[in-house]
Amino acid sequence: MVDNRQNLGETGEAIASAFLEKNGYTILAQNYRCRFGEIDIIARESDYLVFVEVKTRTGVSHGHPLDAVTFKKQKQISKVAQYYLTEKNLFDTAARFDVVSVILSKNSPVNVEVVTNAFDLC
Amino acid sequence: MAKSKSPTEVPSGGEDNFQIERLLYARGFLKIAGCDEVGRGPLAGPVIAACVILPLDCDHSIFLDSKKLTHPKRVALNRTLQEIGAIIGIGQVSEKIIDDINILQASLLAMKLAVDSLSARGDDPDYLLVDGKFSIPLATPQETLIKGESRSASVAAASIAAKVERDRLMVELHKKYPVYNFTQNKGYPTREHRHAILIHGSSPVHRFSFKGVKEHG
Repeated sequence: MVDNRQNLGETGEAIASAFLEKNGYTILAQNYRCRFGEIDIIARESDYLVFVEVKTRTGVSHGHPLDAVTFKKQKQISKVAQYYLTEKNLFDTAARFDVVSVILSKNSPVNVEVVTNAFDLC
Repeated sequence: MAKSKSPTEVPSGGEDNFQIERLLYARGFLKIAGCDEVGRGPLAGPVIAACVILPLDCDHSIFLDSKKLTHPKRVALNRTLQEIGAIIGIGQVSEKIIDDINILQASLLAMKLAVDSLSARGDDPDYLLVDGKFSIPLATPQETLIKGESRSASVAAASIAAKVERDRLMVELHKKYPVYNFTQNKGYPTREHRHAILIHGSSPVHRFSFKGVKEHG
């Protein structure tokens, strides 16, 4: 079960980064880790540094993937993002948070949705 | 009339730093305020602006760019401002709002709030000398001055008042979040400050240039 879920997550992240690249994002890092947690994808899109959270589901029966980015999760991503900006000395770079939802369901094409600027620094 | 000062009172730049104000007095303005803001560079803490109306009759040459003064000199000059009866308004914009509206808008808002605080006391300026190249969103006649702190004593006085107030606030924030040593770095990204963020994470008073959700919806 754990392995399956992990695989699902990895598949989703691979689909998400391919989708982002096709849409003009330059991927800078994947699964960026620091003591405060992890960010799925860090990318650059036009003038923005984008911190991307990927949510993968096999259906929408458990709610929309976007709803899975709870406030607690947003706070954690914020901390990691600030760590990244501090580590790379990118204080004047405009940044934002995007969420990519990947829905993989049987007998239907993969659905990928990008929500730009999905939440604010918190 | 600007040349009536004795040479000893002329500031180091060799220019009269109250000349612009005097020309405005000659045009009939009576409450000319200098406006400046501090705290655009730091990673933490608010943006503070000040708006200062200097008395016509004082030694204007002592008011130099706050960045060229030491901390004790700024504090002393800030006290001098009180003693000579300068009219001082302070405006503050929090890190939360900075994240929402961006730092430039936030510093203009801080300057507007500084002017508003004078208006609320019945001391409305009738002309504003604004440091930088952007004007304050107010109907008051105004002029922007690039490098205003070195060209106008009123702007320099505002830069001193704003800096002293912000330093005081950062010492307060230090009590709440001691790990970042805001007393020393005032929120600026020094090596020590960056190190503290890497070790302890950011605090609620930290700000980075994130795009606010407001622009989205």
